[in-house]
Formats: sequence, C-alpha cells, structure tokens
Amino acid sequence: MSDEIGDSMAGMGRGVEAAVRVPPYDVVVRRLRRRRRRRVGIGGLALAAVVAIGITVVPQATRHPSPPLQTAAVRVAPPTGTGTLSLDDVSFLGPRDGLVLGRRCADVCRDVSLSTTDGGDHYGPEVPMPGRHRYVAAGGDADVAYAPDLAVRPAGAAGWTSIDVPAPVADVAVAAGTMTVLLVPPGEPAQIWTGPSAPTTWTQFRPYAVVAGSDASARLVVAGPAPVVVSTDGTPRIATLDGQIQGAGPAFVETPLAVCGAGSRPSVSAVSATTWWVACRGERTAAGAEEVAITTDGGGSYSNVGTVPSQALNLSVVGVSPSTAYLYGGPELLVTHDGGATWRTALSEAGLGAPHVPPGQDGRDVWVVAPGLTTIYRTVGGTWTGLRLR
Amino acid sequence: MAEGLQDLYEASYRRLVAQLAAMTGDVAEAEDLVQEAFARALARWPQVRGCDNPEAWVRVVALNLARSKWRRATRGAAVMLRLRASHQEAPPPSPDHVTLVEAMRKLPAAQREALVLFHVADLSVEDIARQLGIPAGTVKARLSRGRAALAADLGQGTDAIEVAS
Repeated sequence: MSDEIGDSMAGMGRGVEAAVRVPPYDVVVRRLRRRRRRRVGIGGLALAAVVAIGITVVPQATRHPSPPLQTAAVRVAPPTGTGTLSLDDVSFLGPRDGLVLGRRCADVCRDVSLSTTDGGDHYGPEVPMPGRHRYVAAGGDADVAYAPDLAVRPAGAAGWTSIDVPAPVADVAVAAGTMTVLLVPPGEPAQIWTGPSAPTTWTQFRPYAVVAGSDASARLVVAGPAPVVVSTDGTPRIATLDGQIQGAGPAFVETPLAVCGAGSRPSVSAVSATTWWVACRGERTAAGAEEVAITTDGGGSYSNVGTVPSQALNLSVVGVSPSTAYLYGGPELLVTHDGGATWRTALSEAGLGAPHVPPGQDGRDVWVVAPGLTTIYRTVGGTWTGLRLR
Repeated sequence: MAEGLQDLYEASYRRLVAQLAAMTGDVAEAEDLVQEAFARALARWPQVRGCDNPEAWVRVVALNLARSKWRRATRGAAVMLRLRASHQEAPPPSPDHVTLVEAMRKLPAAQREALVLFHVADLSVEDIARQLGIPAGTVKARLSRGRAALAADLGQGTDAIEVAS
C-alpha cells in the first residue's frame, strides 16, 4: 500500500472517520423499533385485506440471509463433539503443546479442555472441567484453570481436580514447581498464597503475603523470582517483593505507578525481572490515545512510548520482549516491534483476549482467541490463520 | 439482550461510516447504511455475536444495503426515463467532493468495493475474499484493474500492487 492512490484513499478514510460524530446508541434501538412498527403496520394491513376477502394465510417472518463470513480461509479442526464449542482461553506448555479451555453447548452446556501436541492442527478428546474457568495456564508439572475457582491437572493425569479456595482467584502463576495464587476476598485486601504446583488439596497451600489496599482488579505479575502486584484502588501503584519467596510475611515494596494517572487501572506485563510494559487502562493522553510505558529498571523509572493508533480505552498489554508488545481489548489487536515507537494493527478482530506466545519461539508464533467465540487465530511470521474448532 | 453491541457500535461506527462513505461517496448516506446495519444486527444479536467477527458482519450487511439501494436507484431511474421519455443529467458533485471520490464513482461497484476494503478498511486480500465470498485471485484482479483505472483518471502512473496477507 505504498502507492499514492492507496495512501490517498486511506487518508480520505481517516479524514471522514475523524470528522464523523458517533450518534447516541439509541439511534439504533429507535431504528429497529421503527422497522418493527412498519412491519407490524404492513402485516396488519395485509391481514385486514385477507380477512376482508375471506382468505386465510400464514404470515412468514422476513428473512435476511447472513453474509458469507466463514469460508475456505478458515481451517476446521476434526469434529470432537456435537453442538457448538466456544473458547475461553489458550495456553502453552511447549512450542507445539497447547491447551484450550472452552464450553460446548448442545442441549446443555459443559465446560471442557482440549490439548494439542502438534501445534494446533489436531486436538485430543475433550476433557470435562469441574466448573467454568476464565483462564488456563500450562505449568511444568501441572496445568491450572482459574478465575473465579481453581482446578489443577497434574502432568500425566487424565482429568482435572477442583480445589476449594477460600476466596475468588484473580490470577495464578506457575513456575519451577511452585504455584503462586492471588486471592481477592470481597471487601478485604488481596492475599497471595503459594504451594506446590500440583496439589491435591488447598491445605497444601499457605498464606504468603497480604497486599494492602488491593481490589478485585489486582493482577499478579511474575517478574523473575518475585511476584509483582498491580494495585488499582484509586491510586495505581506496583507492589514488588524484595527478594526470593520465603516463609510467611515478606514485605512488599510499594511504589506509585506515577506514569499512570489516578483512577487508571494499569495493565502490567513483565518480560524479565527488570523490563515491564505498562498500559494505563482507562486514561487517555492529550492526543486521545491510551498511555503506554516501559520500564527497564524494575520500576525505578518509566518512559512513555509512541502514540497508540486507537481511540479504544482499556487496552491491556502483553509484552514479548523489550521491543515487541501487543495491546488487546479494543476493536483490534495492536503490535509494536520497535519498543512502542510505532504501533500497527496485527489482527482486525474485535473482542480478542490476551495473545499467548509459546515458549521458545522468540515471539514469532502468537495465538489468540476471542472469548465466547469459536476460532483460534494463530500467526507465524505475520500471516494469521483462523482455526475454527467444531 | 444486546450485551456487547453498544460497545461494538461505539468502537466501530466511525470506521464503518468512513468505509461506506468511500464506497458511496456520500457521508450522510453512509451513516444511514451503517445505522440500518446496526439495527439489523440488534434484531439478531445472539446470532451475530456468535460470528467470528461481528464488525465484519455489520460491514457486509451495510455493503449489501448499499448495493440494493444502488440497484433500486438504477431501476427507479430507468422507470423515470421511460415515463418522462427524456434524459435528465445527474446533479453535479458538490464542491467538497474531492477528485478522488469523483474518480472512484466512475469505477464499477465491484472494483470500488475491493479498493475500499483494501485501502480504507485495511483488510487483507484473503479477508476481502472471505467477506465477499469470492476467490482471492478475483479480489487481486479487481484491485489491480481499479487502481489502473483510478491512476489513468487521476493522471498517475501505475505501480505493482503490494498485497499483504
């Protein structure tokens, strides 16, 4: 699209887009009501005419065929059940070993997980889940499904085991045989618990630390050996653990996340112990874009990065490296490969969840699902493929 | 009942209007088409929400509405011509219509549609093919011919088209 015509057309589109004012959503509702009244009116006239001439007919609903959206470009995985399979999340144990969480609905709905060992071309049989979980994480010796409850499948086990938790689970990190869990009791400070990554009961876990002042949107971010908690209760700040996880009651070092304004709900993604990406969700810059920043000294200082080409708010960030990161949560998936100086659309699909990067791929292989929909999008080297699971 | 549609509406309305305006050459008409498409999406939101890309659904419906409107206008014009037995010149484009829009209007609808989806909606050839239900080769041909026609009309040379997946 390097030619003048393409640039002119794109510029024309941007110009119109900038000038158009979005009318209140009510206009759509009113319009639909008008159409229905019109249809009833026409139907009523027709019925009156039919009654008048003594003929009985059965009125038929107006039909509008759906446009052809799903065609050959979408690969279809082998059928694994009846009904519709909608997806919730995807995670990876290795470059080609993936785990998908979803819900299959026919007459009734049941929550399931599927595994792939060949990079997503084929999936094993659906395994029932003990309840619905929003996220899945694949660990070295166990897979974990969480939010709001917790379920674990130890490596080699056929099924999932539900673990009773004393409060809703907001986030989980699994590494080196240890599972770190962020619990968010309603109306109380968030708590961090730790335990073996393949437990059989919650009693094998123990309270590790309390995150004072955190609310239900706090997230656990593992940066190196110590977790980072983003607290969002009014004044955004970051709580880091000083040193290795050990014993009960370690102290958090809390620092204001000054790069984000009060009232924002920051999203943080760590790519190393010292380099974190930050998206100040809910806050716009003067230019109307969401603020994105990066720290390379473990939160000591932050630098704002380039302009995000989106008017969408509440974008969350997933960092892959100091130069590459994704922003999701808006009408498209955005990516930067130059440390945030420039952002471009990676995938124009609304409602996508967090992109997942399998280990050992240097960020070239990215998978993402739109929660509630049926397709896994995958890219290797910039070309996206939609894989629709049935 | 329509959870998520308002978010989609607010996030994509301006973008869709810009795309339809490039297609029709008329912003007001584009707004009308997009609002009508959203009203239809509202009427069957449970099904639309289940689509892989609800925004693409709305865009295709709006494009179909534009085509239908154009066909009705064409038929209506033919009837008027027969009734009046005289040809009336279409009103000249208003002064704010840029040269590009005028040149776009001269293109066949299929080529204009492909150009708009590629350059304004920023869709890939494969996405355009999927949304229009035509082979990718046909999309490339329409893009190539449309660009050549535009370049000739605007007095530019033609470049080889770059098609990104």
